[in-house]
Amino acid sequence: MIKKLFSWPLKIITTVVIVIIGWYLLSKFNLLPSFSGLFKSADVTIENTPLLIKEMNSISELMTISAYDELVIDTTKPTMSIPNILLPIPAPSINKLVLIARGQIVAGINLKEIQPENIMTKEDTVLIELPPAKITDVIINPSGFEIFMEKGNWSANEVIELKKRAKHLMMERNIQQGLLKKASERAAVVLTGFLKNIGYKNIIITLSLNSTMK
Amino acid sequence: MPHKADTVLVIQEMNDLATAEYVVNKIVKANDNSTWYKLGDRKILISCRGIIKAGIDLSIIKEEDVTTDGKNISMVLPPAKILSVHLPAEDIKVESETVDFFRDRFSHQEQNILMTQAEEQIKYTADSLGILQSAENNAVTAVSALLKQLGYERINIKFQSVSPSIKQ
Repeated sequence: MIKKLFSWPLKIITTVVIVIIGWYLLSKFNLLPSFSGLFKSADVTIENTPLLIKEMNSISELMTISAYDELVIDTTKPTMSIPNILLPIPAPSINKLVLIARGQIVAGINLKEIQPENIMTKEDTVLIELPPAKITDVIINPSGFEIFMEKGNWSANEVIELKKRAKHLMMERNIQQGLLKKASERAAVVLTGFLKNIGYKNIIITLSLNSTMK
Repeated sequence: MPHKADTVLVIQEMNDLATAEYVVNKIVKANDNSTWYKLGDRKILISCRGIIKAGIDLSIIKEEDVTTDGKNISMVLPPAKILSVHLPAEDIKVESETVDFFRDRFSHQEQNILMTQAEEQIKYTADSLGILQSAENNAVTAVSALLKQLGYERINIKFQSVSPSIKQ
């Protein structure tokens, strides 16, 4: 009688164990998805939507230096959550947002700023005074941002503000490390090469001391 | 607070003359309804602005590409290529979000992943917008202006035969 009492549950358990072991073995040979794959969220893919051109600008930027940089930035704010309010002495907890930003800073000179009075030529000699170097781009794209920690609720504007601060810090840090001076010097090298190719033998390039930001 | 870091990762020398800049808008649409065990849908609509720059590599110009004869000059320039694609964070805006009862809103990291896909789409289609032709036309203008300032009067500029543009 006891045998009959336990025969059905035993059969069910045995069947389940056999199915689990069989599924595990078949998933090892990729004949069935794995258990973790069964409960994996499907990737969300965006639709392929067209681009709308809003502006077309003619520019003349000689980009001479590019710096790839990475930094970590965070921000915190106090918040009162319900568990904190129920404490004998209510105290705020701290929300924290930590971003990793990877980007590219590009610097160079604007050729449109070279005026006729900045160029003097005589036979195979040329003298050019270059305008000051500027940061032309600080490029941190969505692929360059990683949200390392997001504790608490953060609005879209707060996240954007932190990203803007990261961009500004990256630019300042590179300027402090002499990026604009390197860009000016490199502009002189690039233009010297160009002028040599068109036949000038004596090339004198002077650099403006007042490198500025864009 | 920012974390201190003393060194920049990599500095690279460049020789690019950027001559065309296109500002584009893109709408990003996503629908998350493909996970079988999650009840309900969620959809999001994001708008963004992209800045695409194109130009030429001056280091490719060799001595044999330039012919001078008194105040006349002929030059062969390299074909234009895409130099950079930039999606500023401050121009990314969630326009609409619909979330069913049993689903959570898109987190900032999930939105970032969607925007990374948008960034790839923009990079992939950038050279079909006509920016390369604009960059070459503007390069002729920019280089001609410089050569005129150097005293040349008759300027003839051509481009090397077209090679596939480099996708960044």
